Amino acid sequence: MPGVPSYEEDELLTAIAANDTAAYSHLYDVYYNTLVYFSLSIIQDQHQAEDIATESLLKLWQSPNRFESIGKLRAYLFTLARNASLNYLKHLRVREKRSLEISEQEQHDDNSIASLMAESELMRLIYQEIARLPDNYRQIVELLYLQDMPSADVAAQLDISMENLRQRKARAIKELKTVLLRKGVSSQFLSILFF
Amino acid sequence: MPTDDFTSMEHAFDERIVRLLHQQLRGEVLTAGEQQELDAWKNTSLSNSVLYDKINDEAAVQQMLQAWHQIERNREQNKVRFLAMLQELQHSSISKRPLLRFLNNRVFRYAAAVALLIGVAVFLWLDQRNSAAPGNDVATVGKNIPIAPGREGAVLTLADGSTMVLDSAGNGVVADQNGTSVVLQNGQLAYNTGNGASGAAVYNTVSTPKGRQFKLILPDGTKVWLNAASVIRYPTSFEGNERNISLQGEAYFEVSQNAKTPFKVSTGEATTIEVLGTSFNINAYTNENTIRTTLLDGAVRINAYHQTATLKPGQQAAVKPSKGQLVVLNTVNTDQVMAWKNGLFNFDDASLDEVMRQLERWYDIEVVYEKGIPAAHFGGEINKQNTLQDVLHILEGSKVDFQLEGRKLIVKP
Repeated sequence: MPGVPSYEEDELLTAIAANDTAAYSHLYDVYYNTLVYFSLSIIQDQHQAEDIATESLLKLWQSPNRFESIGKLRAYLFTLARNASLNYLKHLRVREKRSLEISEQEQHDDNSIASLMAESELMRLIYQEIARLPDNYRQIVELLYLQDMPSADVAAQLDISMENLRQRKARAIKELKTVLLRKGVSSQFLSILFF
Repeated sequence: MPTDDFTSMEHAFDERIVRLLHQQLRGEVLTAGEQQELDAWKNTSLSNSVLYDKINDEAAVQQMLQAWHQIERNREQNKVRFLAMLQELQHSSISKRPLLRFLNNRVFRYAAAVALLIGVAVFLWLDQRNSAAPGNDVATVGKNIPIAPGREGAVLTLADGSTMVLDSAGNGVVADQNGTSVVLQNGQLAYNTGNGASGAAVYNTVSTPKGRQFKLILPDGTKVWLNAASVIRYPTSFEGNERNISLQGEAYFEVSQNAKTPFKVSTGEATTIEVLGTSFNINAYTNENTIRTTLLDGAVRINAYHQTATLKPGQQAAVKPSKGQLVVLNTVNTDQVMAWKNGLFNFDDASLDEVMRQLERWYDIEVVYEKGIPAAHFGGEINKQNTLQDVLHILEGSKVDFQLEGRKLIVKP
């Protein structure tokens, strides 16, 4: 598992099987967002997706199992989240009798689930890079780019002048470029995003 | 847990592919072998190729990251809850009791209530944000979130190049330009020229992105309604014997009368509209193949590609830059031309691609044709305050189907 230095794979698997709380805390840090994102993509409801991710991790705790590899552990968690998400959709469908949408939701076949998993993992990797930016720039990127806050509000929140914000924004874009687009192929990419 | 599903998914998630996608997104150059591998993956399923396209679409990537960010923002608080639940499980004598028992536990019922309240607060906050910024959906991964219509707003660029978002600024003087104060009043921009001698003319620009329109009053009192995705540039005080401005996109003008200084709008490379006190509409989007000037009242003269025409009210001048051609049309549906200013779409006898370009500008979406542009024609008026989904619902019929993915609209025959 990339970016997870604190546990050896074997050590983690043993600790998980032994219901070690610290190992679960670590597992949460690594997989929680990915599971929520994955479930959210299927059910389009963030709070429900958060519950599903939490429950998936709790279910793992409730049926302790020594997995052969991290890959299998992860696949197991994704399976729990997928089943819970599809179940939720089924109930939703029954409740709302949205017959028209059934065929559309039925499209969550193995293929689309597989690419959703890839997408979730990809988002984790990209977001990780943004999170590693120096605080000053990360703040700007979060407010302007990830939260779409108008510039005037950002300046007010950070208690800086618009001019100051403009300067910091320019530097933040530069930092983000080096992190996100190492080869700087598409610099237009970022200028559009920061409009 | 169904074990058969479990094994089937084990192979479904390929870390190598994720790494290649990541490199692709960062613009790193892949080796021929890697590119081949990625292409093979892309071709195994429709959802793979959709994902591949998504990571090459900056707006889609931003939306995906925004969804992730929303999750991250709740993470700490949810982790506390998760750890508390684990603790509870650990200390319970029957370690495998069902999860539902949590709901019978007072502490967790309380926690659930608090979580719900926080959830509601977050929801309200998001909801408020959504209505404050319809151009930008929060936590949007899918197609079920309504895309709100455009609204009033623009960006003002001052003479020194600094910019100002006009929909978030309050009422009052927003800038001073060589003795002329720039005033924002009820979402409308105006210029108050100070007494007499102002300094040299400096230029301001007002631009609307997709999903915004804006009204302003130029220093000479001319009223301008600027449609979405348009730019107008003008001096902060008109000096000399001509009033020259330039326009890209679409605007309706009510020019204040001044026989001594004609009002001239230049648009495109070689088209100037000379105004003799009048109201008229110019549609000069670069993605439309014709610049259309429609006269409602008064008189205008069009100079384009060394040709000249003077319009009478109700006439339209159509300039085709590709052919360097100027044609005057006598039977023009002025209601249709002016619909945008009156808060309507008028699709009378409009072709599908004309309709789609209007929707792109007003809802800030991108339209993609799955199999060419179907030859459909439309009729009737639709209120521009409808959500995109409502408009699509009205348009959908025997000839076209629509599918919305984030802000990308896919048109299917």
